[in-house]
Amino acid sequence: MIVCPACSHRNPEGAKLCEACGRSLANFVYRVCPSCGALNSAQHVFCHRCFAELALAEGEEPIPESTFVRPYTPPIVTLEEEVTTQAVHREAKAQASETGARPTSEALPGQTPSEAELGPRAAAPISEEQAVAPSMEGEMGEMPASTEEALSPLEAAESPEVLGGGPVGAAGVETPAVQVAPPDETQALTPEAAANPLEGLDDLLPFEPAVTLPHRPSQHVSAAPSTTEDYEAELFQQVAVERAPLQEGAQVVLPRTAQGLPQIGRTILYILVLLAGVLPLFTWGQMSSFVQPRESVLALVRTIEELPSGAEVLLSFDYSPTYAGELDPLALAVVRHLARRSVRMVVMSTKPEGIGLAEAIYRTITEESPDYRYGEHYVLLGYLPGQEAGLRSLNTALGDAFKIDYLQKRPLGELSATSGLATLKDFDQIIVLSDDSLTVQRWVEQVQAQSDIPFHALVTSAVEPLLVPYQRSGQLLSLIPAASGAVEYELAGSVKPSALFRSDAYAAFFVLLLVVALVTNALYARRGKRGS
Amino acid sequence: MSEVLSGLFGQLSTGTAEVIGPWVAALLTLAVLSYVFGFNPVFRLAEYLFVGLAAGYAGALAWNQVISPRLQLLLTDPSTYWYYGLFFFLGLLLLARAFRPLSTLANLPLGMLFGIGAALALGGALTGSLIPQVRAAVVSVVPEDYGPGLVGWAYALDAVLLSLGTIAVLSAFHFATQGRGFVSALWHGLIRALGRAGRVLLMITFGALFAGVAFTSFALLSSRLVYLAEHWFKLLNRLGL
Amino acid sequence: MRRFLPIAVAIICGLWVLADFFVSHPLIDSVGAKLLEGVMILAAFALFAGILNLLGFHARRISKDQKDWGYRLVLMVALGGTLIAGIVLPGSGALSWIFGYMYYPLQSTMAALLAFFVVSAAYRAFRLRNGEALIMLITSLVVLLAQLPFSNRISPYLPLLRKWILDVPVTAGTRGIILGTALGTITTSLRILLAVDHPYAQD
Repeated sequence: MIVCPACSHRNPEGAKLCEACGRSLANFVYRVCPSCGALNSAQHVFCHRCFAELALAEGEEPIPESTFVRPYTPPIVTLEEEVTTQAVHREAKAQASETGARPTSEALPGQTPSEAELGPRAAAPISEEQAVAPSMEGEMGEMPASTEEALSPLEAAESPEVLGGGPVGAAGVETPAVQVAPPDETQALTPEAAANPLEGLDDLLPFEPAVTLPHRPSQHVSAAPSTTEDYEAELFQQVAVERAPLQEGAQVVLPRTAQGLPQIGRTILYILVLLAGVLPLFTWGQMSSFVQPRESVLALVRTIEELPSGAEVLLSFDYSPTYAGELDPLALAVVRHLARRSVRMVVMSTKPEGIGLAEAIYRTITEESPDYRYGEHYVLLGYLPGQEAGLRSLNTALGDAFKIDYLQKRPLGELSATSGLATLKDFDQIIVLSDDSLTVQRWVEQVQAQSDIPFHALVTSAVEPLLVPYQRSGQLLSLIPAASGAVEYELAGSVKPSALFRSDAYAAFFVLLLVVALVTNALYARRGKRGS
Repeated sequence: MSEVLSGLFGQLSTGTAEVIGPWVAALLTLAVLSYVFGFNPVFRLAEYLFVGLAAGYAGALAWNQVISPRLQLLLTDPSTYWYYGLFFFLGLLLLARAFRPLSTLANLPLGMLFGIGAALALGGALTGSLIPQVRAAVVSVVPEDYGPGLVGWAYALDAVLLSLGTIAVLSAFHFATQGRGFVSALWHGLIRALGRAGRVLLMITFGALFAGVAFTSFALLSSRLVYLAEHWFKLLNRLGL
Repeated sequence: MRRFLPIAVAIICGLWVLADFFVSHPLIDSVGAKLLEGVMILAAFALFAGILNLLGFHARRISKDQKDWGYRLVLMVALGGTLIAGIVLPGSGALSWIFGYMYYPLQSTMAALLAFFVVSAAYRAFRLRNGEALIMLITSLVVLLAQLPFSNRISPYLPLLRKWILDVPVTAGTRGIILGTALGTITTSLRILLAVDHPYAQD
């Protein structure tokens, strides 16, 4: 598969021009990692991100194993050591420039002289001349200045061509590099690789730099680079990309710990979430006996109980099926309660889907109570477009906002439930069910602030914290989160239970989140200890 | 045409839709849940289907509830409802936005929408949010106003925390640089200290918000899984399995 | 003239509706009510403009025979079918069926997928990197715990603690945000009403 570097369109093998944008696709061939989906250059055998083995294309020969060396663990070089090394190298350079001799670096303890020359990861078998092979100049373009002289351990360690990229050519693109052996490695490189380690490397990943993590074959397929690799990658970015040598006392780049869950952990977590979700089918609300309704639920129950028979209540179903799973049970509980009190309900929605949801709720009510009739006890007004404008128009006249009802398509004056209603002031209560704080805010600003009618908001748990100030200022008489509110309302209002059993699922979910919090911090603490 | 289509539907046996419906719903639910295993063609099909249904449903409602009744009123009583004609004309100009060569025709209705929208937003924010919230933030800090003894002191402390906390949160969004002079340095230092406290309050708020989001998302999943399980049981029962 | 007319209409209509907010006068109220109804009609037309745009976008892709033309065709058929069911067959119950057995399961299940990813995100969000993360973690767990049925069995103070968290620090936080956004809204609206900003009058 060939990915276009301009528009990222995935073109079939053999395409010369991009199907989407028409750009030439010469020299852009990639392999997609089967494990993590990352794009890798055609030369990669192992994914540069997760080190999974990459599939070969048809007819492609695998790169001989002898080209690679065994998994290499770089030494952990502390900041002080590197600063010291750099200072030593600078002195040596200064001396050399004075004397005219070629600078050499003193080796650090544990380093061979060639390591000191070229850095801890540089090749021993490859001589300096070979590392800067003449053929590279022709293929790669202009060589950066750093390769024309002996590199300090720091510069060599962090230079692109050793860590994972090739020399930055004149075109400003980076090439992936073949890993080279440490100095005491007994396994020799092939003669070809020894002659020119960058032989045969072309094709680039211009939009996915190959140098963020060092390339090396690994025995373990793991999504998590080690702490040391992260540290080195950060150092490389600071040094090579930002082109600033580390000074003494410079800020140490802390290692970045592993970002995500490993795949197996994620799968286990998803299975646990699924089990918690279906728990109510087996336990059927054992936890509901512990439920104690909160103050705002009791307040709404009291308010509805005190409504006289025949009172008019405006309900607005301002939520979409996205959050119907949470809001429908509370809506059903409140509507059942209102129906039991023989309160007339006028129903509308500022979202197109809301009225469909309301229709389903009232279908359930009329199935349970056949005496509760459309037109007489409740009316579905329909969808009100225009957001603020629509809500504001409710203040002037109901007939301005709604010309006909939703189900029977009749003028509002012809239906007994709405015949006596002219404006909002004719309603006793307004109840808004919403999945979005902005909608409730609009209701408060355009309707409640202008008309002072008692106002209740039944919202999703996600949105409840955002609306607490309106409750505290008295603009909302009730603010009830639907997930737990449905369970509490059914108990407090003595309505037919349909959400009580969910309390078990919520309890299981909390336990799961608590376990996730404990496990994640235990793992995080362990990784932190390992890295320090 | 509508009679023909209604006739076709009428030829189906009563209750056919109610039999097919749950199967369709269950299959579509599974199609979307398949995303847990990765992005796949079945999920993609469900995605595109959803977009088409959503757009069509909104369009149907907009026509049935908003445009059609007003059009009928305009045609039956044009002298009273003449202004609907003006708005329908502006609406047609707005449709021109979908066609690039004619898109500047939509500027006039868009101007009206923006102007009225701005006015409503301004009026609403002032009368519905700013003034009531500022009024609510200015509360008594005298313990005796809340009750006797420790209870009064507790509520008074809450009131102080609330007022200071609101100011602290507003200070957290202060991005000006420090001016010259002692007073400016003092002021800047005070704002910065308050800002730090404000950030702590914001973290508490985000913690509460995250808890709400987690609870909501789980409630949604539980609801769908229970629906699936119940309907599969019902469907399997009906099939005699 | 081409730019002047939309800007003039915006200012006049906006100022009239703003006057309706603060002044009670029969003429202002009546014209204001008509302007608001006009916005509702234009909002419905804007929806159709969006539908036309969507249809055109996907029709172009299908005509160019792009790889995923099948999906796009499904989208257009679904759109057309729902429109026909709603507009041509309003009383047949077809629109309700489509909503109840297709739209509702699709949209609600897409939201249900969130639960998996929220728990996965909790793995990263709950890491105690610093003091602020600790505050966020403790608040989340306390607020969640206090909503559970057995919380008052663990301690009768848990629901009170949750109420206090919402009533004091969360109220302070969100009130600050509400005040900030209200001030921003007022500023932006004034800029539009005074024609300093006119995003609608672009060429």
